[in-house]
Amino acid sequence: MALTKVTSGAVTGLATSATTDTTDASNITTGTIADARFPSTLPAISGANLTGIETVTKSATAPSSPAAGDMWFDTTSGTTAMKVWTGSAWDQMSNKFSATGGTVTTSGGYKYHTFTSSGTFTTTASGAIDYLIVAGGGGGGNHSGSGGGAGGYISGSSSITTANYSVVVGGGGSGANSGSPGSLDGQANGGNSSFNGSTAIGGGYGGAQNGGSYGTVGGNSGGSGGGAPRTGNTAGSGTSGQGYAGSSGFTSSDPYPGGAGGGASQTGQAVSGQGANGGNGSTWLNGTTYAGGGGGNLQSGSPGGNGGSGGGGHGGDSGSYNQGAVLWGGKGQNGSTNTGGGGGGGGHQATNSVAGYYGAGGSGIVIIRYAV
Amino acid sequence: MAHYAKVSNNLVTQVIVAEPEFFETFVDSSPGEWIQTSYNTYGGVHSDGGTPLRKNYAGVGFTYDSVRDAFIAPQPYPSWVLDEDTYQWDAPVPYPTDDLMYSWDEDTTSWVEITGET
Repeated sequence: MALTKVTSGAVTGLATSATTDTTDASNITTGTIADARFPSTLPAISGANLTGIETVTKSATAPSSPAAGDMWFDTTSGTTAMKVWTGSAWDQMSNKFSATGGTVTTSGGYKYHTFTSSGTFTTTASGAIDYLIVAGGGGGGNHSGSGGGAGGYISGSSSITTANYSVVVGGGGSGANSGSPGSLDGQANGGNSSFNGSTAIGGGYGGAQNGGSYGTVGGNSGGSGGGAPRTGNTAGSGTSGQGYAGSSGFTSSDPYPGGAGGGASQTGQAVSGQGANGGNGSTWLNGTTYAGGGGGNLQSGSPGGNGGSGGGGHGGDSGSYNQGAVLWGGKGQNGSTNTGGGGGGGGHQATNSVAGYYGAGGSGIVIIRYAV
Repeated sequence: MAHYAKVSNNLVTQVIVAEPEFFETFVDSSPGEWIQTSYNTYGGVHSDGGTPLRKNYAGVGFTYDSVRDAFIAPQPYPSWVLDEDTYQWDAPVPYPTDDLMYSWDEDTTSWVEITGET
């Protein structure tokens, strides 16, 4: 007779798995569910009720009142990077800014790229930078020689993208070439410096005295203006936002003071009894001062004018330099290298035998920094 | 550090600090050519005892004489003549050697003593 019905509980000794309803998930207590048991496309679910997951704000505006560890995807055009709040600042995690070029140093949480010579600044991402551009200083003049103006000084902040940026560093302006009293004889403006579309203008050269009715060579205009000899003569003007005007000397007669070049933060300063002092420069974010004006020469008595802070060359002192020829006033000092300082004015000499008797301007510099 | 002058139509328009390899990648659309110059050369003499280059350190406004291979400052006065050794300008009359101060008068082509306030 065929077995047609088994009454529940009538069969004993079976394994539990044989008597368990496997369609009830609560009865599955061991083992692993095979991958094939899942649908190839999982059903859509809402994450709204999920907890313990850090959220990410996607915005061009930083979240307000963030807590340490909060994340923000900055959608700002040109940035588009993941950032995390450190507790005091947003630290960029992705698309992080880096660059090559110049001499690289790290200080105070910033990486500095210093260009003392022209070169290329190459970025591998977008990011924010601070920059300084200083042009070459102007050359000093002769014969009651006036100091050269400082190179133009530009500083600022900007966002830049991935690219190769040419960096041009201006040379210092030539000092007067010879002892030609009262003439424009070789003193020259400094060279321009540039980076990323901004150009700092070279400092103006210092002027020279001429006696009687024969005129005077005034200071030339530039990033900062060159000085003019004695009072009443026209000093060079500065470029707005880059530097100040030069000054003339304090008096128009003996001791025939030379004027001084302007600096990044101050005009040349006429001072009684000496050559005019160069205008002071400005201090950048690295704590260094750049772009001081050159001091003026004094031909009778002493001393010459001081160079302005930031590399301005000292004006020649009376009698500080003697070639055994006819000399009135000493040698003007060069503006300091890679400061944009103006050259100091010198006296005059009867011959052309003293090379570099009048101070040349200092070369310029470009510095770029960014947070690391 | 090397220096280069931009020369256009024999006139110096810019002086920069650069090494030769900079110009391999530098994109410069302005007319002219870059010619090396020496910051320490004046009157054909290198002030540090080195080898002088092209007679004078170039300045904006100087001319470059390709035949003489020299940078030359603007002529101070029409009567002054170029010294073919130093490539600097000399007055046609020597400066007096009596320790008085003089200025050049181009009208009379002579040195005139400065006697006081002017």
